[in-house]
Amino acid sequence: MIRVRGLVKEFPGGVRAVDGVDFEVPKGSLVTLLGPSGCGKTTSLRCIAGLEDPTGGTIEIGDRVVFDAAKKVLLPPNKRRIGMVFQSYAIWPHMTVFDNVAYPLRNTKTNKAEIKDRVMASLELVGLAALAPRRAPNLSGGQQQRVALARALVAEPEVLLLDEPLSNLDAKLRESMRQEIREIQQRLGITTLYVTHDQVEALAISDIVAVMSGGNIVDFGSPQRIYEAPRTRFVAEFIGLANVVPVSKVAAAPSDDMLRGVAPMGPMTFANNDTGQAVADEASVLVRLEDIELSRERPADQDNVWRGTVVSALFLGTHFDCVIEVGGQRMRAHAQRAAKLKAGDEVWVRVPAGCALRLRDDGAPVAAGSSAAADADDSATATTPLLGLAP
Amino acid sequence: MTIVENAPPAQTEEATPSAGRPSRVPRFVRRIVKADPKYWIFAVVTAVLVYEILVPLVMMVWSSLNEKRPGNPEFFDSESLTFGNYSRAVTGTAGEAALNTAIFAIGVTVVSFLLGGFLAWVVERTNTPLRKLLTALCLLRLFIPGVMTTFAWILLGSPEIGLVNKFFDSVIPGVDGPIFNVYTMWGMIWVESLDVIPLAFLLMSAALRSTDPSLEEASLMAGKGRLITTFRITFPLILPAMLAAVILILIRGFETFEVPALIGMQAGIFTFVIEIYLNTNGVPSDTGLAGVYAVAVLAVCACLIWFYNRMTRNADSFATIGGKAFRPKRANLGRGRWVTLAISLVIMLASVGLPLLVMIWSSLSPAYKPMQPFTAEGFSNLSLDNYRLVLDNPTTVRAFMNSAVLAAAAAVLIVFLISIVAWITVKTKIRGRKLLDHLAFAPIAIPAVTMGVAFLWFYLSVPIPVYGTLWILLLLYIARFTPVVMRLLSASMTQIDDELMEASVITGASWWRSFRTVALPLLRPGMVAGGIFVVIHAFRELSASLFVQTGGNEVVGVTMWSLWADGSYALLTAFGIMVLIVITVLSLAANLIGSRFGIRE
Repeated sequence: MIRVRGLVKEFPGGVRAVDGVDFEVPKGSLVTLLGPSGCGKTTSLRCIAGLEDPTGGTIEIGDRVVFDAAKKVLLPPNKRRIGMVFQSYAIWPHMTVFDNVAYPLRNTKTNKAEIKDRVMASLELVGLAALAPRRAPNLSGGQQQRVALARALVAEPEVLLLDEPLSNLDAKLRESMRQEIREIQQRLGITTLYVTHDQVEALAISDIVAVMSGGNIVDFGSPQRIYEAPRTRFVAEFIGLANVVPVSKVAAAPSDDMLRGVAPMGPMTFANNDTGQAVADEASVLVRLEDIELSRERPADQDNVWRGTVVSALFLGTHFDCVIEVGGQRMRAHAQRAAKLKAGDEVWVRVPAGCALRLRDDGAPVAAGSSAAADADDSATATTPLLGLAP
Repeated sequence: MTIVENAPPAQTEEATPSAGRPSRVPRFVRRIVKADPKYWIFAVVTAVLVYEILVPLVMMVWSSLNEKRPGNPEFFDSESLTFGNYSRAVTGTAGEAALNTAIFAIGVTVVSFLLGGFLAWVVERTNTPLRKLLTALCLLRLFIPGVMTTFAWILLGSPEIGLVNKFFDSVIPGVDGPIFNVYTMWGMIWVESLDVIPLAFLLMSAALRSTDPSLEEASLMAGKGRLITTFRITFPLILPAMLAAVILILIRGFETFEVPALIGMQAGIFTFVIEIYLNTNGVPSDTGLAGVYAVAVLAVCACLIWFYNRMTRNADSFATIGGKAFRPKRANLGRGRWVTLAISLVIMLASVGLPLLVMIWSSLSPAYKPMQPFTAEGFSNLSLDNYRLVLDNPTTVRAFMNSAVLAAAAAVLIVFLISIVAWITVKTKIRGRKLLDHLAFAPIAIPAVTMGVAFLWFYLSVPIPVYGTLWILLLLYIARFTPVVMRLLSASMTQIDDELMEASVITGASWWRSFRTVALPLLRPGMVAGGIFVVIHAFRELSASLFVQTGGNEVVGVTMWSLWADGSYALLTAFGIMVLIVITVLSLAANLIGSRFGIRE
């Protein structure tokens, strides 16, 4: 388990890379810190590793306090019992694969036979046992990645930290490696913190995703919840492809958690995702590209149906990526391959009311309550994430 | 922030300043003892550098302000301080010496930069044939001791006996009398420039090599011609590197000893460096005046280094210095490439070929006739007698042994010390690491002669019994060759990805184990390069050793100087050739070992 409270890292010059971050990685689960570059995710990870000295807050790993600003506790990184995979893999070029993996064990007084057994077991785990005597520079990127993972795991650390481990691999390899990492993580049941800027990777691999922006965590929840019901406009636009439609004259629709308003396309019904926030006159509404239905004939349904013109349609293999102008509002949508759309075609656009969600416009940090509530219904993890531990 | 070694919750209390249990040991002592060992190392290394570099310098400045000599019991009395030495220097020969020094240094810079820069361009950017040979010749020139090349050019260019003069006199009709006189300011500049060309060549070819060719290609694509591209893109890109090279060459011009000593003194052209030498080793000596000149050279060089640092710092903002080895486009010169080859060969002939030829010829000639003409009779006189004499002479043999021991010891100690310094300054965040960086690089601004004088006076005045032993030479060499090794090692340290070290610490390794098992092996290529540099230069060091060497502790450089001063020219040339062979073999061997055990990437 990793527990981080009020973590602050201020660099010389007053830049706050991490600005009061709270989160917990429950024992045995994989949490991803996801965000654009400069959001503070790597700095947070490095603070947990002990490679950066934080300015404030506390960090606990397992049952040990490794950092506490108030009590002046700062455990050096070599005492934290951490396994870490670096972005550059950091495979030592002057050692063989075996020596690289054996390195963490040689810190402890482990006898030679046991070192050999454990190194080979670890290499077996990543499928590289045959390459043990190879010199490290003679490995491909994917193989170096596996060596790095084997080295991080060989000493059976309390937690595993991964800093953008797949960003230097090509797309195909990235997909298979992320599956492999997830499998190994689940087999060993090791508590893992994973940093990435790739939202697809984060969704695929995590138990819980923490979206970071400007040194804060702005959303925290299961991948599905984060994708389907992002808390803020930033999260919605960062994860997946999104249309954000401005709606005015918002009023409560017949049912409680539905709202109605006037969009540029015409009247629109949408779900009130953020029940914690009072209903204002104006709202931003999220419509995912794949939720938009396009048809040449007018649909039977009356709600959220508008007529539009195709501005452009790019063929992407599995589908068309279209831009459609509806009443002055441009919307991106996916059309089936069979639709054979081209620029200038007139189409009917329909958005199922349940698939349009009201968003918060601000990027305020996650506070206790609201997001835990949002998570309660669909969070797959056993432990409810600990959030907002502010006094 | 206190560093706590083990911190389960119970133990964190101990680290809290207010909650410490009563103890007789003061808190700051406990803190020091418990501190991370890297702070200890930092303190020790800083102390060593301060002692090695700062203390002798302070001594020298003190001496320039003192009417008493170092070693005099009243030397440390503040009452004997005075500006008298400075006013004596100004009313005396300082003005003339300053003018000579400036003309000499600037002249050398212009000539050697043009010729060395031309060679660099030919080798790096054109399709001139024999480029590898040109590079090899330049490197070979670095191995030849300065006394030898200077002496060789005396043999070539003196008005009466100079072989070049004789050649033109006899071969070309209409030329009567000497066409070239080495005993002039122009002669000095010419001979010294030939010595500096390899340095200029290496600096400039590094700059040309590290320019991203796509920057130039982009200009060509934008419709600009080669010439415009060269002036608008290439020159501005390498300008910082060019200026840095100019500054380093200027410093070399200010502090060089051999040419002003062998030629300048004869010609009556005195530079600062010669004034220092004469006022220290001459009779009667005048330590006050020598101190003034030493401080003056130091001040000039320090200013230049300040500019150099600014220049190289700004160089980062240019895209030229990339870690990647680019393969710049070579200009196709067509038939012109034979012209560039001819010019390059003439330069190398003057710089390497002729001096080496003369030295070999002279070393094989009879001792009574070292400058015999190239005739059939001359050839019949050749023998290895001089080499036998060198090997039979106890002084020259001792010099070989002493210099070998000193060079090896200095190389090992400097590389060891500086790899720690480089690690601290590049890879840690210890407060004060910048200071250490400056301290280790500072000696680059201290001219060799100044440093020699400073060491002499310091160890004459303090009760540390190293004067008259090899130890003082070792201490001197460590101070003298530290900065270049510092540059080399901090550059290779910078290239080692931070994550490689972090990956080690994360596994639970102590910093010492991380340093030993990860940083040091990765640093090895840089360490070998630094070691070779120290060995080559320490083995034949002259201008600083000259002041602290004593009988029985002869070193190679000073022995060559003495042979010249005694007029034992045949012995000098034979000895010089042997030194050259030793240095070449040493560095080739070191290179081989380095590539065998270095990292293959």
